Amino acid sequence: MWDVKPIGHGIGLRKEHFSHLYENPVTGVDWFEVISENYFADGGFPWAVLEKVRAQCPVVMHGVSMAIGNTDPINELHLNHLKKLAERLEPSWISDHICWGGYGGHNSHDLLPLPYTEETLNHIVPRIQYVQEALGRAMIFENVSSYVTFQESEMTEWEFVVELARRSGSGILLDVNNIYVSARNHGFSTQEYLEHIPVELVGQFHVAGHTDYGEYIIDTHIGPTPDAVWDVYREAVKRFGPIPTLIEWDEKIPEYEAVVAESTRARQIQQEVLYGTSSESGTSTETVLEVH
Amino acid sequence: MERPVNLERLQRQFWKFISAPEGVEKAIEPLSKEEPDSVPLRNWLKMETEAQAVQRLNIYANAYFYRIHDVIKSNYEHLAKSMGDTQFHNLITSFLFENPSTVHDVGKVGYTIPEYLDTHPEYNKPVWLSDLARMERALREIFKMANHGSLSLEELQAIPPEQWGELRFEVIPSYIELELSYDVQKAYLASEQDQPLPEIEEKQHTLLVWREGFNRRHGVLEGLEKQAFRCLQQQQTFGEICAVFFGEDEDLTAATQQAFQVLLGWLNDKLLLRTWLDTGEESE
Repeated sequence: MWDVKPIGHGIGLRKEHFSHLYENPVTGVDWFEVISENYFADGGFPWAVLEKVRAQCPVVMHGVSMAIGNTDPINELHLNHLKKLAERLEPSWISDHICWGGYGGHNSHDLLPLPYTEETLNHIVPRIQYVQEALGRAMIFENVSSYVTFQESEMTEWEFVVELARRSGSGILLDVNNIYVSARNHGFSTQEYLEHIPVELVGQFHVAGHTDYGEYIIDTHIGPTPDAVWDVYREAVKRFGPIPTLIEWDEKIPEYEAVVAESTRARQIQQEVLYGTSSESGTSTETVLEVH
Repeated sequence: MERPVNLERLQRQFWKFISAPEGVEKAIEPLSKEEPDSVPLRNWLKMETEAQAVQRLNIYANAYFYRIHDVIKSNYEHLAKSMGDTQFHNLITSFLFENPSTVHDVGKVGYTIPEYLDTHPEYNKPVWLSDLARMERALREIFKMANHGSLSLEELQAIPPEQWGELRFEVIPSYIELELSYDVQKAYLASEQDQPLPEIEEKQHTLLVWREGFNRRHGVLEGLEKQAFRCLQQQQTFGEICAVFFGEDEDLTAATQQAFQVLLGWLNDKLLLRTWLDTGEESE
């Protein structure tokens, strides 16, 4: 079963900050999220940085290539890499996306949208259970941004996300930017989305920026986070409480302190919403608890 | 487990449209013959107009191409600079159409670009581009290999001179040897320093690429040093390495000095992992 405790506020470990983190102690954040597939190699500078960071604070593993919704068989090689990485890193939790990623043995390296149907649920639930069994732990799966929806969908995205988590015993990584992006692209209410997600299923938030093209918006992870996304984050904190929050910044990544400043903003918003106060800065004093 | 018939069909159609080399709009006509149900797109995509469906599906098609294009460009930075944007874009379009990704790590999608250039002379202009790509691939590969230490001068100095003849050495694991036909180190260095590309000569040679700590190094392996390096790889004794330099004049002292200088060079370049004596005694 999914069971996560708050570990505070984190940012993604990105190569633009490797030198800084190799030469300086971790400051301003409680944990880091690493892209799992970037650490499937044996060594090199990225690993040296990661080991240094891991010695100082928790890390969580975030995958981008599991493609749990593919109709191709589960990629056992990928799963073995993931398992080995988890044994080496001892992450607080492991996440991936509710999506598919390729067809006929070919990989798009993208997070492609699924039709929300019983057939899709019946296909994915046993795959998640298989992966969780192989990893020996429950995972959390993230809602993705989408630019199309399908005629054959039988339920809303939030109904699908909840059913998937409930039936598979996994948790939800709620990406509030993705909710905003998809809501704008498909014309649904972010509030309605949040209200239909059970509190106990959510294990992590993602907060990020996007690019607005007028007729549609694209999830680009370019920062800083727009106010409209912070508004969705406020609503999410109000409903779900002090859920571990990650700032995703993947385009035109600024210096370490600028990304940390975004994380500090998330921390302040959480404080304001939950306690009516705002801490200036600094890391969380909450006890670090692991996922079981 | 039941086969998800509708999901499988939807993914097949979706994949065909986003991986079409000239975009969604131009793929409609040919795909309407292959996949009659997939056209119009609003048969399966919930969009107000067909134009909107094309526009939205194109977001995925562009992301598919440009994500892979950009990763390959960052992996083969100097190849891309040498080719120019248009030619590089055409190379990746053609490469991806013939070699859709089958790997889970996007960083590995362009692994076979050097071989693709060898077999596609229309893109391998000038002819040394595939060698440059080989060099860049090797520099990237050694960077991801397992971390390791290297033999120090102090460890070597601690060994009594009378035992040196029986010393054996092990090369570090993070090195790659390349057999190249053109002197592409010149192109690599010029590109790295944003200098105009020099004339690249045809030159059969062995390029050694290795990692020194977290730095990437490369150098030509030739002549007696290359022969001595072969002895090193086979973990032959220092005495046998000296024999490589034992020329026609049969000057043992000169041969030993030459071998020592070469060994010292490898030591300074952090190419030696460890040394040990035949007695079983090892020095890490």
